[in-house]
Amino acid sequence: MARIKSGILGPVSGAIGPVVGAIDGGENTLRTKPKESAGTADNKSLPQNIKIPMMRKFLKKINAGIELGYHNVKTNLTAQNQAMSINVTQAIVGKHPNFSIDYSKVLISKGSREPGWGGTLQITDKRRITAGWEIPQTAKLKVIGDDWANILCYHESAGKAWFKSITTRKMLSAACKLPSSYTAGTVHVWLFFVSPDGKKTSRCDYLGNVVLV
Amino acid sequence: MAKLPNGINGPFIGRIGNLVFYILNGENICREIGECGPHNNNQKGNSAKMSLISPFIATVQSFIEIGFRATKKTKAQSSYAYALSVNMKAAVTGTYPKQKIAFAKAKFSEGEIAVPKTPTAVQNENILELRWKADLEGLNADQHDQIMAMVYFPGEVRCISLTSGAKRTEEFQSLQIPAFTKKTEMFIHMAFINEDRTDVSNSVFVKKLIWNPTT
Repeated sequence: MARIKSGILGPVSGAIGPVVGAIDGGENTLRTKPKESAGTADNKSLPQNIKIPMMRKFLKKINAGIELGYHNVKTNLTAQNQAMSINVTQAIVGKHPNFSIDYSKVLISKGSREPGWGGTLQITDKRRITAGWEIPQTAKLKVIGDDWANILCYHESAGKAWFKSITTRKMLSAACKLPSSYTAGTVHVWLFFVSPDGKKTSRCDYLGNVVLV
Repeated sequence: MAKLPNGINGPFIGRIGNLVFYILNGENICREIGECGPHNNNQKGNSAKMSLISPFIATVQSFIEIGFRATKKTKAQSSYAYALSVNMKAAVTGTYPKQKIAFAKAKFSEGEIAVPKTPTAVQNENILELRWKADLEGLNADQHDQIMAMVYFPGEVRCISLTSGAKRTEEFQSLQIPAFTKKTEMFIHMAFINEDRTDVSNSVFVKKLIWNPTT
């Protein structure tokens, strides 16, 4: 795919002979015309045709976390596509055609900021969860102390996500109440940090899951 | 008066079909791309090495930026690129498709200062106690050199590092290890950095320890 920079005639849109012009991510591009697929109906049974829709459905539900978590990764891909690329490889387990998502391997954020260490998760009777973390001795507290702690909860059976930037890293814990719409079931919880200026993100930490009764 | 050195549509950048367009020395160049056959095992092996080592080097990047800062590199090569190159050769063992990283052979710094002599690491609950001999007679050793320590946790793909620790003559540095909820391996490396940060020593592998939450 070629990009047209500074064209005096403006963007090309549509087919011209063997090439097609389009605006992709704000850039004027030209690419060759797509050919008819040589695949057959059997392609539907190929592993990726099961894995990709499965992961796409999950990632759409947790979009708020993904948009922030992959916001600072330098690439032409959208945040959803970056998350898909990583998670479809590492977070889907099982043998074809019986795949499932291993939530402990899902990566909802990526970056070079200091990650959370020693993450813990507790639940009280009133559906209140408390996430805790440590700051290692070698970390620069002055630099990372004011990072925002972000918590993402996902109710597995209901397919509902809840995401919030709760407190700063130096507080070492964050408490929040799960939405009242969360009925009985398993809730997975992740934690990641974002710098105060929003320009740096940490890799996420899977804190575990809680079972609501 | 305007000039249109790259034509009325401006320069093309990228690939269309079997043609690729780019700017070389200010000129918009177009060339044909030949057909690429299937990769042989050597090529696949190299790709696999890169996939293996890249996440590791990315995790320890802040340390290796200092560790390889003083190393003689080619003009365009960053410390990150140099670290990738060195560790692909030194730390990746086995043959494709069964390659793995030997963390004990990883290199985190390179320089002319004398390395830590007889380094040891002892775990005391959640405190790591690092010891070494000052060895002031060593090449380029100075009493003001400071210890650098790298503790890498392969199971977590994380590290903790120290780039300006105790002085060489103190012969002791303690590091607090964050708590893990399960057994975790850790690989400990040490090096020295001089007072004005212009040189470092080669990193040395000290020990592999296992963090056990029951201890």
